[in-house]
Amino acid sequence: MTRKHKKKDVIENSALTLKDFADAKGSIGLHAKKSTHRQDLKLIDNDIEALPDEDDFVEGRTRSRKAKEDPNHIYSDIDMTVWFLVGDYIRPEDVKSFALICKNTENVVSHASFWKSLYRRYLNKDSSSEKLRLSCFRSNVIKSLYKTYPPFVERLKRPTTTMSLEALKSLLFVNCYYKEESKVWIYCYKFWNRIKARKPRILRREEVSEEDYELENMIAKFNNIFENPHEGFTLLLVFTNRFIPMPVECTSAVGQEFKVFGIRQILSTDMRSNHLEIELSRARENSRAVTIKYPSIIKFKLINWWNPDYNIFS
Amino acid sequence: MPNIKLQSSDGEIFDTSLDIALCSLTIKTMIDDCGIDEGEDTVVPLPNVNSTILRKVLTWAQYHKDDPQPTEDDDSKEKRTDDISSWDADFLKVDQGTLFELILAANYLDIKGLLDVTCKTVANMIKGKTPEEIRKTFNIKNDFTPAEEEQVRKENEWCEEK
Repeated sequence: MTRKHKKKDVIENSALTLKDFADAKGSIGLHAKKSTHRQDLKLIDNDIEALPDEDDFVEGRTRSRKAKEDPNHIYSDIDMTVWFLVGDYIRPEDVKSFALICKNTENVVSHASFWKSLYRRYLNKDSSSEKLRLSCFRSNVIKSLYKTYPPFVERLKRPTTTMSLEALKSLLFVNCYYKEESKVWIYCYKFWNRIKARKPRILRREEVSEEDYELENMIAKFNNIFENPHEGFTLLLVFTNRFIPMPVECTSAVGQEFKVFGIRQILSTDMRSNHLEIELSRARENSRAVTIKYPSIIKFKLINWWNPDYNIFS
Repeated sequence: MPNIKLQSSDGEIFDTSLDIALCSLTIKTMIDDCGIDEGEDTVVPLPNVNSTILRKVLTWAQYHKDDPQPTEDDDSKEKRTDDISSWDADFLKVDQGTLFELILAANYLDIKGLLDVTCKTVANMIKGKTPEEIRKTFNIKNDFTPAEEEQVRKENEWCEEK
């Protein structure tokens, strides 16, 4: 049945259901509606749009919707000023979603005023609050939120799950060390999610007066609010009663880049303890190069750069 | 209270009570600076607000004319978004285009209360949603390249619940 015939049938028979489209090959997207039964057709089309096509599944993952976007679709053009004004009302936990809407909202989040607004609303509630420097302002606001903003403080109280170990996969190995505290050996691995450092936002000539242009940009460079030497770093702490020597590749691998190939927690055969296994591969290779095993661990913990404990262990 | 004439961008004249018009700090400043006296037939031009939006703004101002003026300290407060009054919620049951135009008008006219409630309404539409859901809600194009999107995702990893 051709699509054209299908649409005609839809118009003539309003009792048509999604099942009638079940054998359709390819996608049936939204098209210009000329029929008098526009509403019925639109409802059915919307239902179909919501269902993934066979083509959408590639190796078990859903392919981006972008490939299916209708080139004739007219999107809303929301004034940049609106996003700037709305940015003042965004909760800390919605910042990521807000930044990812479009380039305009990302631009709002990259402005110093956005971070100053978060600071004013959530951190600087009384005069005794910590005053933050302009340099590294963004990372200091984030770190302060994890110290004082209740929803974020609660997040840090939750125990590290084995699921979160998955997040370490493919991160670059930076360094490791160990120390002993009250007969417990603590092994600390530092990993990096490679991220491009953001340059300070350079003002355009039309944004400031001519005499302020040089000065404003000099201040912006000096007070780079996005500067964060710890951006993308995560620490893995392994607590154990046994001393396990560090693999020589990790301690003296000058010039060699390693990444996390695999990492897992395994229940021991007597089911009384857990082992932790870390596998590293050379950065440009896809095979295991180093395996580090920690039998019978007490616990493990992941600490991201925004965690107040990060500075203690990094 | 005397009346004042406001002219929208499309030329419509609104004869309104001065106490309502003074909800707008922009109009207040214009009156103060230009020295418009009572009884004068001066028209205050508002080139950034069309008649549809100006009518809505004046309706809002009429209802809220006795509200206390917001203070500087209000800017520093954690902005709750769940405290919109039922009258305001009903008033803002408008299409998204109108809602965004009301935000721009409130900003231009410097009406803090209206700006507050309109921005809260949009912030509530964003709250707890994924970027894709938000784009769908506002019919916005995802204009990031995959590399740009990945960079923004990484930069805001701190915000994720793990």
